[in-house]
Amino acid sequence: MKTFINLSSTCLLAIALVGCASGPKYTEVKSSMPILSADKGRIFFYRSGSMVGSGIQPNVNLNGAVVGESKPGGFFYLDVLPSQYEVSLTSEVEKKLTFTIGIRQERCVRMSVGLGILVYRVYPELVEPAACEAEIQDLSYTGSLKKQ
Amino acid sequence: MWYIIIIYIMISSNIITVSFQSLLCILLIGCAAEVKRQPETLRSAIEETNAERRAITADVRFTLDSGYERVLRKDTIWRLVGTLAQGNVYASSDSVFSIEGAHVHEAYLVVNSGKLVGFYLPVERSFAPLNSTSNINLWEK
Repeated sequence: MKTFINLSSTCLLAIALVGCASGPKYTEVKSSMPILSADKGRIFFYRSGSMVGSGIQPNVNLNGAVVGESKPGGFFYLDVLPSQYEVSLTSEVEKKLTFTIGIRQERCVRMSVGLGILVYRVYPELVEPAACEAEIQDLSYTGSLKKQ
Repeated sequence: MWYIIIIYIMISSNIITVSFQSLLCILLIGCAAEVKRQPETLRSAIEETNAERRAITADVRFTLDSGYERVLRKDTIWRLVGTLAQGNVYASSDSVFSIEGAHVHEAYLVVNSGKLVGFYLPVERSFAPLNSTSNINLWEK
């Protein structure tokens, strides 16, 4: 029984370490973020640090191109030209988010975890600026794989 | 592996029929329908500085046909951005608003004589009607 508990604890710790984003917190990164240029808008992508569905870490696609990974407790941002955008995550059930962004406008996309048909799934939501600012504070910057 | 265990339990406890019915229900509930919409062209886009602005005076809660709930928050400001055959189109100036079905779409409000009649989806360039049983008055005409 003791061996089982030890093994379980080790596994849980391993899952926790693999699952969560690491990196500087938003509060540390905020001051060093580049000033948004006059012809672009900024999209923030973030996911809470909840362990629910933490093993599901799909790629984040913006207009079909991979721009990052959805990691629990992580955030990243992209500066983009004003246009129409579609966010999708390569999750069990694909739920797309479409929105527009204007010059110097900031948009926040929260990646939430919900119960899918068979496993947890991650889906994007458009979030109000105030809620975004409150929820992103303690998250870790995960950078992006590709910038536009 | 766990599928095999579940199927074994189902067979051994003679509840396979009920379970399949339940699974079917989950599948049907789990996949929300696409938002019903029709292509529309937004006309007479208005200069942002001169646009009419309206405020929501109390929280407005309603349920979309897809079953998802939405709230238009008190004190949010909505700016007239154009017109459709169905009504005037207002975009939020200080918040974000989206409607949801199988996917999530940023949406503007379509208002006719002060009544919310549907939504304009700027990316899809479409009008999504609000169900006819809703009777939501947002503001004075």
